[in-house]
Amino acid sequence: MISKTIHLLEIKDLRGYYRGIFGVVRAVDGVSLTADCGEVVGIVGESGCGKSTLAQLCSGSPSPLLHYESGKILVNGVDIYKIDPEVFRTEVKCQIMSYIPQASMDSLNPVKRVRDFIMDVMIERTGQKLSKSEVFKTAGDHLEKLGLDRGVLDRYPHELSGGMKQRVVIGISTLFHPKLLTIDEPTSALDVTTQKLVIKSLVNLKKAGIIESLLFISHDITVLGQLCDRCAVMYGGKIVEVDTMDDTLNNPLHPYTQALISSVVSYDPEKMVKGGLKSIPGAPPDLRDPPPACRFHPRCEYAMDICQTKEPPLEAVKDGSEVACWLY
Amino acid sequence: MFDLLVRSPKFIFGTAIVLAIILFGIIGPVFTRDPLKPNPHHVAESPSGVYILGTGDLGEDLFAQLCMGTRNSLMIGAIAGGFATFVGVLVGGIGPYKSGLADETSNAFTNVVMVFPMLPLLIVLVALFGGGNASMFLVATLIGLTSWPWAARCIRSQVLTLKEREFINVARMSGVKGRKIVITEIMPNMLAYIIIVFVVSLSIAILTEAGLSMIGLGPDPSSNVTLGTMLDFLGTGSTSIALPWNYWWAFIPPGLVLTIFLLGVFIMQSGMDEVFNPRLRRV
Amino acid sequence: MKNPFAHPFAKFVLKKLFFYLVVTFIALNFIFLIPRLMPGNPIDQMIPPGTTDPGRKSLRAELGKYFGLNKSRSEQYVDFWLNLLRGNLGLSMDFRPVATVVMEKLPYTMVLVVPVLLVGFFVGNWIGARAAYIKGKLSEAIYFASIFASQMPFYWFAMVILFLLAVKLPIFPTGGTFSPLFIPPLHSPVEVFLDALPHYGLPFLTLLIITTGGWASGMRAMTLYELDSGYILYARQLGFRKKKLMSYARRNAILPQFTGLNVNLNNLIGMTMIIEMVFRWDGVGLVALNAIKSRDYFLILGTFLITMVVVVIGNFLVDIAYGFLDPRIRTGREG
Repeated sequence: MISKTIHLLEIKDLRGYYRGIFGVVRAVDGVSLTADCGEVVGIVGESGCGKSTLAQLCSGSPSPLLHYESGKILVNGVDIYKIDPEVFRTEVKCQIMSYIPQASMDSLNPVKRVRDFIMDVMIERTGQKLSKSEVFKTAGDHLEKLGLDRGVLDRYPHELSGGMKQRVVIGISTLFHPKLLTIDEPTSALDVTTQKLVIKSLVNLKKAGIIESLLFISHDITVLGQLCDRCAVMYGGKIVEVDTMDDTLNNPLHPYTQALISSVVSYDPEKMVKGGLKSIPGAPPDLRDPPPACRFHPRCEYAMDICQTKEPPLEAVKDGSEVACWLY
Repeated sequence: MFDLLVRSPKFIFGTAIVLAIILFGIIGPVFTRDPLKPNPHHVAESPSGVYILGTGDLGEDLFAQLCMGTRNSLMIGAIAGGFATFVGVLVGGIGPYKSGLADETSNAFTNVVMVFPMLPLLIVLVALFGGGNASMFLVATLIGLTSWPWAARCIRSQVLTLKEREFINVARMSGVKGRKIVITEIMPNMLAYIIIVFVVSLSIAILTEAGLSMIGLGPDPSSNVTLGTMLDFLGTGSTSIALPWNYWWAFIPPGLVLTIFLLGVFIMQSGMDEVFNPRLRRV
Repeated sequence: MKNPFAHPFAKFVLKKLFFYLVVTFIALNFIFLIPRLMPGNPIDQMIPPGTTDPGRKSLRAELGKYFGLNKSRSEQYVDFWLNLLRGNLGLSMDFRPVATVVMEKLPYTMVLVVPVLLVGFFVGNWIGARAAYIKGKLSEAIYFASIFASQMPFYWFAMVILFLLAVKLPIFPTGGTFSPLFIPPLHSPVEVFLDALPHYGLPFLTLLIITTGGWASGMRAMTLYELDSGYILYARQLGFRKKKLMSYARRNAILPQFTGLNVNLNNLIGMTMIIEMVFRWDGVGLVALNAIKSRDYFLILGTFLITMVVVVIGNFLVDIAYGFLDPRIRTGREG
């Protein structure tokens, strides 16, 4: 049992920039967040706000153009960027935390059958050659928990549908029962029915104790509403609000969050009549050259003078909620 | 697009090399002696102060030949490359946009022509239509005729990629006709790409022309000099340097010029690749 | 028992077969058409009408018969195909059937083409894949060397090599297939082989260096490209060792290389022919060169035809091999 004073995941003032011939993109610019055992934390924001980047940085193996600049990421109290990479690879990855990237459809090796890929995963992780029958049995059992038929093992990736591939990837990432699973936009390319299947699989995994905590990233707040305990809202490379899920949906504090909620079509006719369908004017900031001070101020309907000169810090407002806005 | 290109060091370096050689070809012949004029007093001399690259077996000034040869080779390359790019744009560009029968046909057509081995085909064509006194223009046209499939294939893949992009769908939904979309939306984005296809076609053409000239199937050597005719030593043409292996100064320079030019184009191309490839990877 | 022809791979093979038959058909029509589009007619160009020499006169007569000088186009067309089926490709200037002349020399060309193709492909791709793996000076050096090798005009490179290794340093002979005065039928196959070997060295080496250079630089680029793909990044997330990641990248990168194999084969045929001319290696290329010199049009056309057939067969085999290796094609699209 982890003591309450050590969070499972703690991010402190994290910065990660993309560097290339296009310049420097400040995708994640001073983000702090915590997640505890047993929690499902969601991260929501529009495209380009930096949430995928945040997830990649948390995984410890950012893509080649992404550079970890500064800040701390502590997993179970261990700073993953300070420890020996080899230790990180063998001890932490997949065992303590696992990351599922966006577009999981492309995550499977096209020329290998699923079972051969899983075999490779086992060999690479445990360093031993295991018997085929053992591996296939374990893998088959595990995939069944996700609602997949054992026959999937014999297929090539191109023979599977999007939803099946997604669940296979989830299965592979959770083979070793990681404590923390970070999953990036798993539902974006799927139709609503398959989305529900995937979400259900994730919930099942948590219930079965295979994963303990989940960091779920999406631009679709309705999906998050279905399974998250807490929710963090990102904009322009920074976190602007952190609440419990209910509070985020029913009582949004930050102007951006409010706009986000009201731009979502809901089935509640009362809410629709009251709020109408609003869209947020303007465009997301270019993170090579973000607006000074509060990054949302060019599009905010409540913008004040101070918003253009000083950046609002992320502060606790009431119990459980944090906002970065001069309104509070 | 262009601003990224000019920031790519590879692209600049490659372009610099290419431009340098082009300049050499344009300006060089102005300052040198007549490359084809035989001079019985100075036959087969190795390089000296007077003749920078020595003389051939009829006393021609080889440096003058190099200059004029570069210019003519470039000209042939330009004509052939232009031809190939033009046909490539027609076949590879229009076809895939109007998908369906047009696309299938143009693609099938390209595939068929691609199977024909270029050099043997050219040998047949030039031998039968050239008759030994082929003009540079004829050679250039024939080369263009046989090398367009490559250009068509490149252009087609670019058009297909662009076609999927959002703004095309927007244009289409607002009712703009197919052909108009190609001209106003796709082509401007392809301009830089078409230019590089042209440059590479040009370099392929130069290479091919030199190969043909070397076996005597190029432009008539008694009236034209190209980098290829300088390499002709098999005696099939009328200027032959019988045993070039003693006259290293005769065949090494033209080959070097060719190699450097091709390298320049290659570096240009890989610079462009980094820009056009969406996975902007830096090694 | 499922219908074997319904299997996606069988369909793939049949499609390719159909395609290549169409290509061959078009090529043959082309061969029919070209000499008839020349200014004048090829026979007059080869042997002037007013010749008095009896040998050449009878050659004119024979060629005229083959070409169908006085017949209508459609009759010529029928004759053309009938002749083709009988293996008659006309006569060369020295009275021998074109088909015989070319087929005699074909093995000499193939003995250059096939080894270079195979060795170049495997060695070149192996080097390229390794180069993607090693960072640093060695990788850069290999990269530049392979680029340089692939960009050189190959015939010029042949001349340079000939100059360096046969003239300046007389390691290799300067040309020919056999030593002067060596008559193959008089010697045992082993002796023939041994005599030809040093002569084989330089043309083989030249072609090999250029081909390998091309494959190495291409494979390095492809492998690096694959290293950016989703499945590699995911495998990295899962904690795969670098060695394993490279093996994944290689296995996927080699697939598109196979399409390049076809193009390589086509280019290689042309290149080999020219290299033969430089080194005077007695293959199809040298036949073509002599035919060009003496304006022997039917021989030129015959050479082209046989070359074309070799190319078509080769391309077809490569396509099938590729289809087999890519599971997406082998199993078709299901699910």
